[in-house]
Amino acid sequence: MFESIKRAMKKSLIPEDDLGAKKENKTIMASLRENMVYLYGQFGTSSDFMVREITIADIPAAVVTCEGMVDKDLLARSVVEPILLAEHMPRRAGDQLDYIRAQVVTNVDAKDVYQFSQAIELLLSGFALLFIDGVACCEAYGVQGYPTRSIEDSETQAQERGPREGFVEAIKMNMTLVRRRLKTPQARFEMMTLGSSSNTQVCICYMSDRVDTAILDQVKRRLADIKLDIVMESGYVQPFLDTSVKSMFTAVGVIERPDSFCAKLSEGKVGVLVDGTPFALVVPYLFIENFHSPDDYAMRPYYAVFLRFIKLISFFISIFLPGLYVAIATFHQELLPESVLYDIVSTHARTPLPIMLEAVLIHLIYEIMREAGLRIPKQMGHAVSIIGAIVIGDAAVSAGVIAPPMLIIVAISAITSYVTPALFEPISILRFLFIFAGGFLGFYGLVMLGVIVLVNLCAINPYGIPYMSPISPYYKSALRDMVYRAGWKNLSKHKMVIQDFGTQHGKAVR
Amino acid sequence: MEGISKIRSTQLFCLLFVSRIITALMLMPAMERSAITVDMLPRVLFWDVLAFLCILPIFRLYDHGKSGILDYAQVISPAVCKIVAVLLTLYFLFANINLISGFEVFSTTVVFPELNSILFLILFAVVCGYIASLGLEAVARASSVVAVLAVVIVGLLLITLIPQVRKFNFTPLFYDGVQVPITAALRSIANTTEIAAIAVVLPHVTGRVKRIYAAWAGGITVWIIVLSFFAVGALGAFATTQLFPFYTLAEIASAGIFQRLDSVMTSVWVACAVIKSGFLIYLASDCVRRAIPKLGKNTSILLLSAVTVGCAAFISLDEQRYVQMNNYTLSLIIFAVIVLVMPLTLLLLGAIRRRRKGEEG
Repeated sequence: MFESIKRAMKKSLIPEDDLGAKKENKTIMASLRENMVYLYGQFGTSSDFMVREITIADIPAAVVTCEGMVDKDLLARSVVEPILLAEHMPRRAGDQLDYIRAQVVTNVDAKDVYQFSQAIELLLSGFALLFIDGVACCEAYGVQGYPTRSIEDSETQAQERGPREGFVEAIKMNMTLVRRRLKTPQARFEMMTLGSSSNTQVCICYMSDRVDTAILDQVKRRLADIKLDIVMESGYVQPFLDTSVKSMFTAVGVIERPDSFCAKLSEGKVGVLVDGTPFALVVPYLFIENFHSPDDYAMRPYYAVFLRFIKLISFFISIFLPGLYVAIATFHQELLPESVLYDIVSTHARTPLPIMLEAVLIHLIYEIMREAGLRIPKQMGHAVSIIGAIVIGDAAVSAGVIAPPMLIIVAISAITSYVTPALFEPISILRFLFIFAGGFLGFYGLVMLGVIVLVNLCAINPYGIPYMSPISPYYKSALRDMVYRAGWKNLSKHKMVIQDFGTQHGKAVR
Repeated sequence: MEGISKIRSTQLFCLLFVSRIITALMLMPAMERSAITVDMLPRVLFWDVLAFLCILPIFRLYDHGKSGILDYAQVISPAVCKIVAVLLTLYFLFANINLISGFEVFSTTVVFPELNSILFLILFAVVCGYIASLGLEAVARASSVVAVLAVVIVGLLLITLIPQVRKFNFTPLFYDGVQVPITAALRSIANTTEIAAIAVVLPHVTGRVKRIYAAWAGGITVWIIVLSFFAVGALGAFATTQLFPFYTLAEIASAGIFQRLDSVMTSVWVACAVIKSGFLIYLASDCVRRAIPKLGKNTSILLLSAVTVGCAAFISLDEQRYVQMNNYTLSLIIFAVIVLVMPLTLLLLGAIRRRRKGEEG
């Protein structure tokens, strides 16, 4: 019956507008034909919109699915087959649905749907819809079977000791990974939909016994205020949750590991999972957390402290070292011992460019190669390595285009930037800024820019929590978990929650 | 915008400490017609007494409903508040111009002779204006970090100077008479903008402000005594011939194979100067917006920064103007009016108002 509707649509005999293509919150009708006309109007001639006509005790019915989104075996086994083979099926349509719901279908994920908007959302999420002629509602069965990536270790947040599970693209699977680690009813998940075209599912996660309700309310409000057409990645949502202070540093944590995510939730923070991406968001996120990793808590405290110290030093080296070298070599040579000074001067004397330009050029080439290495197909990846190592590393130095000390500085700066991948973006830009500052104004420029960055960091107050805590403002009790890592016997005496860094006026504001 | 309105008392301490550090470091004996001698000790002690006497009226104002000078003036009358706000704006502007022009003299005379003065002033003002626009809390938090770094860096620098300290450089106390340290203390108090800053910032501070003031005064005393000890002990009479003797200390400092640590000292100076200038611009902006409420925050900061640059350029490019600007008598009169006369007048007006209300009641 419905093929005629489909054919008519293809021949444009029935204009799509007349078939209720407008997106209204229309109620499901009792007439099966009218319901199908409406759905065909919505989906047009889309080839993945599938309708399976069936008859239930001489009453027409239809099972509607979206091809590729459902597990056909599961659908057949748990829904269609039991319905068709059911005995003692009532003759009245309304009674049929009750009977099917109560005694026929074995699928546990079933819900009644009365609005087309909800029906379409479920259909596109992998549900199968059962319409029966004469019933003004449909039954939706969870038979999702769309392809998903299997759970693998995180590629961007590697750790030495800890679970080898990372988030995946499917939000339900991510919720399961979180639930497996927080086996408490206090761990809550609230779903919402973002993106007028993509209708991407977003899940707000928190622990109800310790979350800051002001922060939670603010997160919900900010997400509700988002007016985007599509949401393909959590990065689309991140700016709406971020600080209003213009800064290179983000106050939203990006986490790919469920263990890290759960640890943040247990501190009273709010997490956001976005369907279609393995990168979850956590707010509020402090500056010092960029130097943490989950395996800090699995290691012995002395080693964890050492690693955090290494990360902190690496961060400063990665942004300051090139600019510092340029400043000293250009303006403050008196700082260097004579032997070192002589070597630097003699090598730079042979190069054609001023030291600042040389530094900018090498860093630019490094950034280009890094980006190329990231985007290039794996089959050609070895070519990047050859060009980088031989051409840049050897030929350029031999030809006298760049000086060896500069290459060493760039290499150290690059390696140290990998220690804190969360800060990779600001490090890349700040490095250049410090080179310019050091090249034009020496230590003056470095210090001025450093103070600007410091004040900018201090101005960030995500959800009323100072971004630079517990360093400034100083919270002595928080140091044992945030700056260095005390032993678990010490940490277990008082659980650190985000409210411990609360604002002075006691409420989170935008 | 994110709600930022209160700072802790410890952050206020750091802000005031950083502000005073740069003033102490930029001491110019030639301008003061004084010497860096053992008399720096009684000088700083006299300064302590004078500062304590000057802060009393301001704390008296604060005791009335935890209000700052502007809030107290507002209670008396809006017109009085505007007058006070304008005077404070001009005072902080004056202090900032002094600071920036002095720093420009330091930069272009000692450190970077080839540096373009106008470019330096513009850049400095832009940086400080941006910092001021981020608000009091951001500046205060940053000052905590800068204060710690300054103490550590200067402390390490001074430790390297220990071998160079000579006993014979220490002259007896009051060698040139008692008048010298008293005059020097008066000169010091005249450029103590921190007291007026406390008067404005008090409503935004949580915690025990009086204790913090005492800690700050004590900390500055220790700082100046230690710096002076090394300046006198390592440089002796040579210190008086130097334009910036504390900078010269860094020039003669060495740590292992590293010599001429003046660049390191310069870093501390720059950081402290930027924080102080940003703080002063913020205070001036806060005051001018009390006088002209319709003026936006960023607009006021932009205007004040522009005025600062213009005036600093006008002053520092001519030696005579710079000397006149740093006239001790002028500075003392201005300080006395802002820190003593104004608060005492407000207290008097407040007392009269309360008596009238009592009589009417």
